[in-house]
This record gives sequence, structure tokens and C-alpha cells, in this order.
Amino acid sequence: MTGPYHVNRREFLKLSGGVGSALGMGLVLGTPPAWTQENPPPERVKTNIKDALAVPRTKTSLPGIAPGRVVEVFNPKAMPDGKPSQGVISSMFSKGLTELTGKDPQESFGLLFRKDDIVGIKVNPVGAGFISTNLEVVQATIDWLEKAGISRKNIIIWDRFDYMLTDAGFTPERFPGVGIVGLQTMDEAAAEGRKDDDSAWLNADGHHVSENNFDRKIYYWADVEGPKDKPYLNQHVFNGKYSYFGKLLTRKLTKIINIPVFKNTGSGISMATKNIGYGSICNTNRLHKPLFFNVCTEVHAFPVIRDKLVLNITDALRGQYDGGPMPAAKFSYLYNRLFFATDPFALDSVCHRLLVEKRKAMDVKTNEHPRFTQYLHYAQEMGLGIADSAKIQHIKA
Amino acid sequence: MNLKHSLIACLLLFPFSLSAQNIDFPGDGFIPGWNRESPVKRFSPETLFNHIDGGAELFLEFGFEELLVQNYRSESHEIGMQVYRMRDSEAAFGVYLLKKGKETPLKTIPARNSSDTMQFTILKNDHFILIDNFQGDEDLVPIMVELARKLLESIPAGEPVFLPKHLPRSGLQLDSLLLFRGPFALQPLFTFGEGDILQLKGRVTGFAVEYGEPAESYTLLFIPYPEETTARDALAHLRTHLDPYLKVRSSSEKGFTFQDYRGQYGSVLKQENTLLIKINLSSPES
Repeated sequence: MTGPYHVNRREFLKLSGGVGSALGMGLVLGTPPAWTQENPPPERVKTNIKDALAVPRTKTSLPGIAPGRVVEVFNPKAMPDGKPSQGVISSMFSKGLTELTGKDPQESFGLLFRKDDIVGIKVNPVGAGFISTNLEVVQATIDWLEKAGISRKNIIIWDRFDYMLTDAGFTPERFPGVGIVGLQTMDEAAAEGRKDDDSAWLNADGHHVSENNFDRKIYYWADVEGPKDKPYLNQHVFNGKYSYFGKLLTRKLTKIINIPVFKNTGSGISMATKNIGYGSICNTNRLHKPLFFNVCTEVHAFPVIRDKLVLNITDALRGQYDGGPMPAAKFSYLYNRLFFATDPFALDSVCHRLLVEKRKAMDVKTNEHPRFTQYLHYAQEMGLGIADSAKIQHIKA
Repeated sequence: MNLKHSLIACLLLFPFSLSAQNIDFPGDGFIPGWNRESPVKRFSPETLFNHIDGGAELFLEFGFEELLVQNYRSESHEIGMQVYRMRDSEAAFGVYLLKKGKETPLKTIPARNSSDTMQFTILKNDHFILIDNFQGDEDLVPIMVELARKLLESIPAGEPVFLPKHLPRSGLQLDSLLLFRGPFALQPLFTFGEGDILQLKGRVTGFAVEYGEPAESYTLLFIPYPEETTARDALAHLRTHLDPYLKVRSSSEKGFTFQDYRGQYGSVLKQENTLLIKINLSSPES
């Protein structure tokens, strides 16, 4: 046996009786008493989802112009030596759009945007430079929008955290003329305890400096409080029961393109719907435990997302099948794919299945309990997308 | 009877915690051209989510004390080092087993490890260590090994962590071993219900191992509670809050059998202070 990992097999054999024998005998069974009857599902934490559903839908509401359609574009030359090839990726981008809409890229634009739109490109910069949204995919997106007539000043790359955008390479130097906006700042040094001075993130009146970046009138409310400590406030801006949407989304952007990455979070995925669900609002950590994936669905039901999110492109040039949501190089692999959909729930349904297949192929423990995909079906119930595999059209281009 | 105090057999680690202040990160120029990128970043249990938002819960569940992050940079490359100090050796071991992937040790690293070009996953005493090669450049592997070796010098070796004495040995596939102290570590194995369904409370360590041949295999969850009463309470909690996708087939005072959403079978049996749970059975137990 390799390393300091020594099994005394004789001891194993010697001790294979005892409890093992009891197990082998099975259980002494009787008539099920009342307490063994099937249990009802636990009660969900209350949220303000009804407020969102009360707002009438528009012609641009999710699931958009291609409900249930997911286009997978594969090119083995996309990542030569592990580095993105702009030329190949731009070609994949055009191909994916065309397959998704049935029109060429120029005509596709007209199906999704107007020339006076202000378009926000939501990236995922977590795991900067490794499993973060590739700059080349964003470049291809900007090139398309610009060629179709959108001014660069009306294109905004955004994420929740400003410093993560910088770390991931989304800088004015790399994307001149394009807006680059973090919904909030966070003082890393203070968060890490490297300094006691909180003035970079906390006003003298005890409020986070980014408070005004969030819209107090448009929020996701859930009946669970955020912690009151400073590190939480530093990262989450607010800590009550309200998760406000960024003003960038509520007041400036008229359309959103979502470009997540292809990675897991535990037995689920952290892709299209999580990139928006946890990236558009503040005060999110409180939501992980009680609501987790349902947040991904419910946030999409609010008009600020539902009526503006028109295109999703999952950047699967590199994938990560385990260890997520934090970057784990050990579990990453070159996948050389881009996925396109207007329907983020169909997109995540397909990608969830593909990631499960990969986990199994890599002999990773895989729990396929319905709880890890229920949020997708919940979205289907609300008319936000398609989750039934039989109704999803998965096109390989 | 407390099974955890009557241990035999294998594995790793140490009962004693080591102060994080004693960690001696390699200094600037540990290899010519390689320097520390910035001062060491420290994360406490309260701030860990700042480093791994959405991933901190697993560490906290096992018993997390402190994370130190030190990145190194040369002219064109970067290597990241994360050193997690856990509450005890079993906690570090539990995290390691969940993070190691298929175990591929490098013999040049003087501690249990699973390593490839992209990442070294290392376990020593109550420390879980990650060394990341962000660019995946194979030329960096010797640098990573040197970093690991120098770091590990400041962490003493430890006594093995043992498997519980009464864990059945026959047919046990040791490579499948996982530890769990709560719902996050349990998640990849099986869903029994919401929250801390087995009432582990981050203190009771459960052992999950696979048994048998592929055609007739199953997974056993072996959970030795400190007292018989806590095991009884855990069984009662499990019955009351059992996942609605599990259909109880039969039951007794000592446990019950069930069928899961895939049509596979399982059983739960309390024996003294231990819960023994079988899952992934292709046919029901008689």
C-alpha cells in the first residue's frame, strides 16, 4: 500500500463478525407503527416570490425566444496548450448563436436586442483566470454586439464584486470603452483580518459604502436573517432579511447576457442560474443553507431578471467536476465547449446531466437525489424555463 | 460502550492541535526567482466564507480553526498555497478524503497526499493543505514539491486515525472510505432528509465505506455515537424527519428498511450506541 496508509487486512478479517454479523442477519421487523409513515416535505422558508409572480409578463420574459433549446458547440482546438484561442472561440460563438436562433449572428441580434439597449454581460470571476469566465468569450460577445450596432459605452461587464472583476482580467485596459461594474466593493484585507481599519468599506455612520448601489425598492425577501458581524457586512452590504437587487440592473441595464462557467457546487451545479441568482443581489450567504438552489429560481422570477435576461452562454472551455464552487485545479479538465440558450433552466438541466456523467466517469461520489434539480422543475412550474428532459432540445453543433 | 475509544486498524493522523503561528511558510527566494506575492492571509471560522463563499460550510462542519493563504510568484508563474488547520486530526482527514479525488500520491512529498500537475492535496496531522498550480505548467511541479517539503517541516507527524473496532472488515473497500460530521459531508453519499438529519452536530464522526463486489455491493454508514441515548435520539430524529423520497418498507424498535427514489434499498439499525445504515442495496434485506 502506498504512503502512510496501512491496512492490516488480517485484522479486518478477524473482526468481520460482531456488528457485521448483526447486519448480515437483517432486521427483526414488525408492523410499522404510526411514526414510520411517509413524512411530508419540510416547510419552505417564506419568501416574497408571490410579489414577483404578480407582475405581468412581457414579450421578452423568460424563457425567451427559444424555450427548452440548448446548443452545444464543441471545438477541440478552442484551448490549444490550455489557452483560449480567440479566433476559434469567435467562430464557435457565431455557430452557437446561429444554431440557437436559426438566423445568422446579425439577424440573431435583432431577435434579442434593440440598438439602443444597454446590455449587461454577467460574468463569473470567482476562481480568477482558472475557472472564471474566459475573456475571449466576452470579447466575442462584445464584438457581436458592437458589429450589430450597440455602442461600447452601452455594454457593461458586471459582477457582484469589483475586485474579482479586476482579478479575473476584466479591466478598462483589456476592454477599453466598455463599462466594468462591480455591484459592490469589499475590503479583502479587513475581511481577512489583515487590518483593523474598516474605513475602506464602512462609513462613519456604520453603513457599508456600497449600500447606495442597491435598490431598496426592488428586493428578494426571505424569512431568514443575515449574521450581524462585520465580516458578513463587509461581504454582503446588508444583513437583514432583504437581498436588494443592484441598481445597475434595476435602473440602467435594459438587457442581460449571462456568461457563467461550467462547474459543480457539491452534488449540484454552479452555472447559469446560480450566476444570476446569487450574483444579482446582496446579503446572500444567509440564503445558502435554508434555500440554496431555490434562490436561483426565485431571483429569476423578478422582472428585473425575468424580462431582461435574453441570452445565456455557459463557458465550458474548461470544466470542473468536483471541489466547486471554489476553484479546484485537480478536478478541472479541458472541455472545449460553449453552450447557448435563451432558457437558463433548460441550459442548466442539460449541463447538470453532463456534469453528473463526468462525475461518474471520474468515479466521484454522485448523489442524484431529485433535490439537486428540483429548482429547475420549480422554474418550469412558474413558466420560467423548461426542465423536463423530454421537452428539451439539446443540439450538438 | 464508546466504540471510538476502542479502535484498531489503519489510517493516519494526530490528536494534538498545532498553533497556526508555528506554520513556517517558505520565504522569498526559497528557490531563486520565487517570492511571496503578499503577506499571509488569515481566515477564521467567521471569515472563511470570504475565501470560499458557498464552500466554507463543509470545513466548518468538520471543525475548522484557521486558514492561512500564501501565494508565490515568479516572473511568469504563480503557485497558491492554502493551509487549513482543523479542530483535530479526524476533521482534517475527513476533509482530505472528500477533496483528494482518486488518490495519486507523490512519493517525494513526506505526508499523505494526492497530487497531480494542477494541485497537490496534502494531509498532515490536523492540517489539510492545497497547493495550486494555476497555469497547470508541468515545469512547476518540482517547485510545488519544494514548497510542500519546506512547509511540512513545521508540522509534526502524528499518530494514525483508526477505523472503529466494530466496523465490519469483510469485503470492506478501504479506498472508498469517507468521513462525515454533518449534512455537507453526507451530501455526496445520500439524502436522508433536511439539515443535520443524523444529529452529528459536527462532533460525532460517521464512517462511510463500500462493501462487496460491484454486482452485490452496498455502502455502509457506521456512526458510533458517544452514548446509547444519543444514538436512540438520532434514530428517532431520522424517523420523524425522513426524506419524503424514502419509502419505509418495514420497521421495528431498532430500525427500519426503506426503498429510495431509484428503486434501490436500504436499512437503518441501531445497535447499542451505533447506527448502522446500509444504502445502495439492489434488493431488500430479508
